[in-house]
Amino acid sequence: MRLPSSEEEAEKIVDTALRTLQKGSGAAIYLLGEGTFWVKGAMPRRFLKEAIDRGAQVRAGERDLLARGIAGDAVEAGVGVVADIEGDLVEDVMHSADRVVSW
Amino acid sequence: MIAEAAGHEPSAGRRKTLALVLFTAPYGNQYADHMCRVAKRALEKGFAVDIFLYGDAVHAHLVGQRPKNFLNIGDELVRLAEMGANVMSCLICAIARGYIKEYNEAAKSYESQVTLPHVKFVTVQGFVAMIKRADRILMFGSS
Repeated sequence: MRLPSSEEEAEKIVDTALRTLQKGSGAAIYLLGEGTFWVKGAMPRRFLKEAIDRGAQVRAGERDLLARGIAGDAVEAGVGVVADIEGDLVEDVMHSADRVVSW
Repeated sequence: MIAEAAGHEPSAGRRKTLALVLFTAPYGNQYADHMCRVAKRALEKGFAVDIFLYGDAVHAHLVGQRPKNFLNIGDELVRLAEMGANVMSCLICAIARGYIKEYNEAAKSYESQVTLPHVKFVTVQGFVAMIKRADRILMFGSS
């Protein structure tokens, strides 16, 4: 729901997902509101790409992307753009996720 | 009215509960918006929803909000309560911010004339009870 304040913070957030993947579990990252800027900013985008390449599911809210003028090629390949991001989030959190971490 | 909410015990076939904790005041950022939208979808999908307003988030249940261009969070909290959400506010946080002027000795409760009646004031025991019964917890914002 927000951009990382530093490279260290971005690394820490994505590292949580990567460690989960290393242990053989799945990891999903949801980007809402200001968090959708992760797909555009050079620094967070780099960390996001690493998470995608390692198998994390990354989803961004379509309404929030459009509101911020982020669309098309500006969205990192592998990021799922979701119309009902809140609905998807609820389904994942309540039915699929064993642990949830929110920033 | 203080609601300690200690009597909610899980039983067979109960709905799963999603607890949402808001830490920031509305309008300076969109955390309250996100929280309300997630709460609404969860209620629509049949989940039980608990909402807790902590710290500056207690400003979210002030009556008479009139944002010009933003989602009216006060109205949203009313809608969510009417949809079945259990909306709670930190009593100590509300007292600290001047929302509660006095203790009603007769009713044995803290009351406010300036906050939404749909929102219940709870102490930390109520917060802990909410955490205990939640199947999942999402945090919005930071203190």
